Amino acid sequence: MSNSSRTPAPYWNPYAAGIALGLVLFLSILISGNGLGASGGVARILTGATKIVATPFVDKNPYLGHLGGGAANPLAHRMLWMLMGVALGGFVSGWLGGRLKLETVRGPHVGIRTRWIMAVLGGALMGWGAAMARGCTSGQALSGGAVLGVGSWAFMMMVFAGGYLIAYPFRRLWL
Amino acid sequence: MFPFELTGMTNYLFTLFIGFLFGFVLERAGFGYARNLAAQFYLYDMRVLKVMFTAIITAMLLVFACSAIGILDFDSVWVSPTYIGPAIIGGFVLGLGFILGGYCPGTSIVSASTFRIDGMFFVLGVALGMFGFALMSPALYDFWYSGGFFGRITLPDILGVDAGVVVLAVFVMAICAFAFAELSERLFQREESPAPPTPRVRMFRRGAIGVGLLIAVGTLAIGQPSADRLMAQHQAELKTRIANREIFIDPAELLGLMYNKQVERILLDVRNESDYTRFHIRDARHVTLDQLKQNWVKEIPVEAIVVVMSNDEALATEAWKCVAVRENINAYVLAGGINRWLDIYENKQADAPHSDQPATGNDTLRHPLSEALGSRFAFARPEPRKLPKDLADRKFAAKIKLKTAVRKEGGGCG
Repeated sequence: MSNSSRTPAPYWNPYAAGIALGLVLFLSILISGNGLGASGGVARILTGATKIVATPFVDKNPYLGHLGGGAANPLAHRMLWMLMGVALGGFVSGWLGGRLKLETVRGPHVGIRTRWIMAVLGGALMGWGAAMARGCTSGQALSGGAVLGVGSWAFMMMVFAGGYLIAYPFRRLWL
Repeated sequence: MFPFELTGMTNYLFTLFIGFLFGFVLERAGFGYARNLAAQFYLYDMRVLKVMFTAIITAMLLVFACSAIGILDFDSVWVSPTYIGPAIIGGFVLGLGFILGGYCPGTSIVSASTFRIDGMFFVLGVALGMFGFALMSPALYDFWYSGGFFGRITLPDILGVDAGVVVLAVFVMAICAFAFAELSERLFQREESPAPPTPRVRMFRRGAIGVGLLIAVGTLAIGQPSADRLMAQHQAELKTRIANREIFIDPAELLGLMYNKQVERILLDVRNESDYTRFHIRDARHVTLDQLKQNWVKEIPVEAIVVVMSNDEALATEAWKCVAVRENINAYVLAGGINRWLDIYENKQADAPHSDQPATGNDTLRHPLSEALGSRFAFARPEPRKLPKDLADRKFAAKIKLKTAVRKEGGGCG
């Protein structure tokens, strides 16, 4: 049995991992006609949770209402199952590879607290952006890119543009 | 033919299975560890670009190759509709978040599920960001809902080429990007940079490029299924539907449809330009058979009812085939064509043949219209209450079936 104290197994070669990821995406499209996704699941859990504490707010809100206002149940959606699958698959792979580890991944010159704040901040920008773009790197860039969607390619270019634009000024976070 | 229409639990369990594989591969690729991801933007480890582009071209090659050989119906595959404004703004903000947070939503889930605390904070951040968007959504709604909306369009659509051309181009571009990535890792080398590829990896890479190129060129050579190919494939079924006249609707049924505000209708007039200029039914669009065989059909929304017409029926039936072979399109032919329409609404012949009786003419306009007024004749869309009683009460066998649109759902937040 593997555990977290042993030396982690090396990652797959990126090209091999890419082919594996491409095959998963292709299988999904071939069988169900749909691609992959991640942010949709989070958005629906958020909507479901908000609905419990403030139903009228969800009903009146254009974005949350769109995801699960009125009689619609935001949680009865395949993206929730996708999300569970991703978490489970990630866990199993990390476990088998001896890579389960309670830690904070950060650049060498960043304190733990700064890293946590930045993770929330970066996550918030991602969440906002994914809501605006109707998808994140999985649903838009990867799935939409493979079927040559116009908006998805524009999206992908902008992700790299945004990243490279501020990478240098924020280099202390990672280098 | 693929894909299947998965519903209920089958759909959920299949999605769970795909999600499992997705999460597993992401973790194996090293995407559960923020520094591997951020490295992309500091150019010393181009793992993100390599994995993502390899995945995109692998899936792309297989999808379009399967579509070319006719085992996957690409029209039934979900393509995230293009909202160009929101895509650009959203993508840009996502890119900023990538640098600050070090993950994207999918990879942060994997990170959190392998116990990384920063990953857990990131997931929390994603939910907060979405809530922030929700709070701002009343103000952003117009932009979000219609900012540069182009519907389901793909790169081959806007370039007006066979998808194979774009597939090959993207493949070649990706190979160039990989070469650039390898170079960049040498130029910006740091301790953490990956070791140069071993001879075995080089061989594997050359082999993969060869296979990919072969699939791309093959896809281009076969081409995506054209209207002609689809028609040949569905010949028997189309013939039956034409022979039992279930697709021919009576002029009176069309008139009813034209006054029905509940449904979207698309009237297609496939006659020559001069006949169309002389007379056409109000709101009918002029379109040629060639246009229908090209990409034009893609612009027809799923919910719409399409009615095709010519002077009699022969040409319209040919045109109907081009439209009807596309899955999800609800198309009909005007029985007796424009000639019978004019018999009834211009010449007031209430006893004109019904929809089960085929037109006999040779698809020329029988009616000597005094002027070329297009659709400005009263009988281009007669008002039912102004019609003589026998015309207004004309009996017909209703043929139009309303279908609920079968649509694929998105993967993202939409």
